[in-house]
Amino acid sequence: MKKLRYMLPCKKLVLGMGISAAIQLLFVSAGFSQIDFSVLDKWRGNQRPAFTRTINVARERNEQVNNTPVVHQPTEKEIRQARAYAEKQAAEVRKNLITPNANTSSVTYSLTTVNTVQNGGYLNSTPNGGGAFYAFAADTRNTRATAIPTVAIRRTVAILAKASEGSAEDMFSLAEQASIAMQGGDLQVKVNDNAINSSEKQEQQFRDLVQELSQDYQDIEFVKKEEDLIDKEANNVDADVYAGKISKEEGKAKLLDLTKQLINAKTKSEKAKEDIKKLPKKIETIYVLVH
Amino acid sequence: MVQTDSQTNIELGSQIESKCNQMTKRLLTLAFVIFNCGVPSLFAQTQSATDSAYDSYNKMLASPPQTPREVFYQLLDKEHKLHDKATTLKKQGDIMGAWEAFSEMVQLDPAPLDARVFCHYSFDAGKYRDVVWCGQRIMDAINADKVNAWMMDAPVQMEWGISLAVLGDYRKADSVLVDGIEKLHTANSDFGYEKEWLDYYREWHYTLNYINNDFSSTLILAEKDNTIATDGHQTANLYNLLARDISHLVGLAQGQGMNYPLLSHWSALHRLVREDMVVDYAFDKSESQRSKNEGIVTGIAWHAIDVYNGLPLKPLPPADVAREYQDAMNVIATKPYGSWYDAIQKLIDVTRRVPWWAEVHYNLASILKTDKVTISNYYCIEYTGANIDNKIVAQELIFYLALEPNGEKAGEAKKILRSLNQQIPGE
Repeated sequence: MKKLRYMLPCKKLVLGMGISAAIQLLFVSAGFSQIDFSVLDKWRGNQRPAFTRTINVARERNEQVNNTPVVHQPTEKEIRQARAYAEKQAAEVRKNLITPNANTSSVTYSLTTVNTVQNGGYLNSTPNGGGAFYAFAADTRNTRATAIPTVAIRRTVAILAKASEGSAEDMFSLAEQASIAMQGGDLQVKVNDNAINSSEKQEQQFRDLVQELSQDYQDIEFVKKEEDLIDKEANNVDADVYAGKISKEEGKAKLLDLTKQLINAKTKSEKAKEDIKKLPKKIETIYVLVH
Repeated sequence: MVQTDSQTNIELGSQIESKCNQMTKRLLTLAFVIFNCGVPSLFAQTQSATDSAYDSYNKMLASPPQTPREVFYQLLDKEHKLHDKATTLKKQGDIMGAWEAFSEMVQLDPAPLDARVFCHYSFDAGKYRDVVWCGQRIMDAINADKVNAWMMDAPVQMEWGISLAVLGDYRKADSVLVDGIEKLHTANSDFGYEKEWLDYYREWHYTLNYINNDFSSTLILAEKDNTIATDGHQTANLYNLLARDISHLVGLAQGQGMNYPLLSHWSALHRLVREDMVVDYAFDKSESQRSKNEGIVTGIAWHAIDVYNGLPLKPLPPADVAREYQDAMNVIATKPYGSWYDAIQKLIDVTRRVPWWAEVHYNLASILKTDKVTISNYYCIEYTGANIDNKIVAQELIFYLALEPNGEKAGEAKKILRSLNQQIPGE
């Protein structure tokens, strides 16, 4: 009996080995000799690996990650419930969101791009020259005053009116934006189109102002061309006097005329620079702005 | 360091040009003397003849001009005096006074040669718009074959590029610097010596590339150039370089009250430092370091918010970020709840790149309040801890209220903050 008790596990072992060998033999005979049975070892007893957090997250989202088997297949009812819950949650979130609305900024990204003046034979950006609005004045020559749409006028005015509230450098930045607004380009600042409620008369006054600025800019540009022309003309007069074509007195009188012409052009240019500096003040006289 | 050398070069160049200008103007004065007194009197070399010529010159300057030439001479004399004044003030260390005198002179006659010297004066005085004008003026003159190409040398081009960056025109700044790098590669000593300038140019090129694109493309650039030490800390080295240069841009813009560009610089720095907390470019990820870094990042966000609140007109977010936001919101508005994960990551990215966009802060808070997804992209790789979602929700709502204290959702935001036992800003 005692012997039998010792033999019992051995019998089980022998029996187990026999069954295992029989299975292996069966697979071998069936042509599956390449299968590695050692992989089954990890599934023995309680050694089955626990699901990781990733897998849990994946299950919550009803997804499969890395082909890891999902143990519990949800029923139709569970799927319906989960979908209903998700929709409820989504609706709850959507209800609370601020909807992106183009009207709040009044500026879209679909407008055309325009270039503000960055070069040319004058200093468009020195604070003690024509001031921050030089670049704006320069851009008026690209814009036909009569063709500026109402919305562009409103935006330009709104920006120019705010320009003097910031630092000197902010003024430059906003004057550039005003130029872009006037030409209907993409803005980088928010402007409320309804901030300015302009009448037809005010719009006309603004168009006149644009025309005036354009003239100011031309006066500044003109002086440089005038200098070159007068210089050449004066040389010609000198040459004529030297060649005896005209008398000394005549030459002197001609040179005096040219001098007056040059001084006039220079005076006009200086006045134009002063005018450009007064741009925000002029805007204020046309529009009463609601800040 | 390269920077010191460059400053010396600039100083030297400026001095040489000052001398040239002075000489030109003295020659013109001499020309006047010859023209008015005749060559024989000059050859006579008598003291009285020269004195009389200069007396007549000074008399002409003091009286109303009778000929166009006298107008030009008077103008030249004025320019000459302003030039001398600028040079003297610069020697005395009065940078602003020197810039003002030179600026007045350049406005009398914006010649490209003067623009070149004015470029250095303006850069020293922090007048970056004028530097940009000078750069453009010289380039226009070179393109029109009016001056020699050497007028645009490495110091001028570098100052032009950095000034564009300070003004927030990152793309144009980068193209100017890339052009400079190409010129340095051609080993044209008229432009500048490659050995002396290349690292300096590249450094700023990387910074601008990061701002215009992203960190990984910048790292590829730096590794290709072999400029980042391959000591296993490449990302940290590049990160430190970028953080230093963007901080430098912040300082330059802040010093001049350039608030619109300053907002862009703060935003770029915020993006870099917050990205680092997720990707780990340089930071130590210990628990104590993490909370310290959170303080740094929120500090930068607060700087940006303060600048934004002080602007007379509020800026719009950059177009590419606006598109990213719109894409994310489209997904949230139309797709099922389970597919929002990427959209939320995009919203987080938008708050990182534009920390002053109130609407996004509020919407992100609203979504995170309801959707308890794992936040993998906010401040670090795996955000863990009790009520961490609530912490982020509260932070986002506080930012929203700071930006829009009277916004359409201000009441709702305050209600949520109270429910989370959080202090409401301004109360």
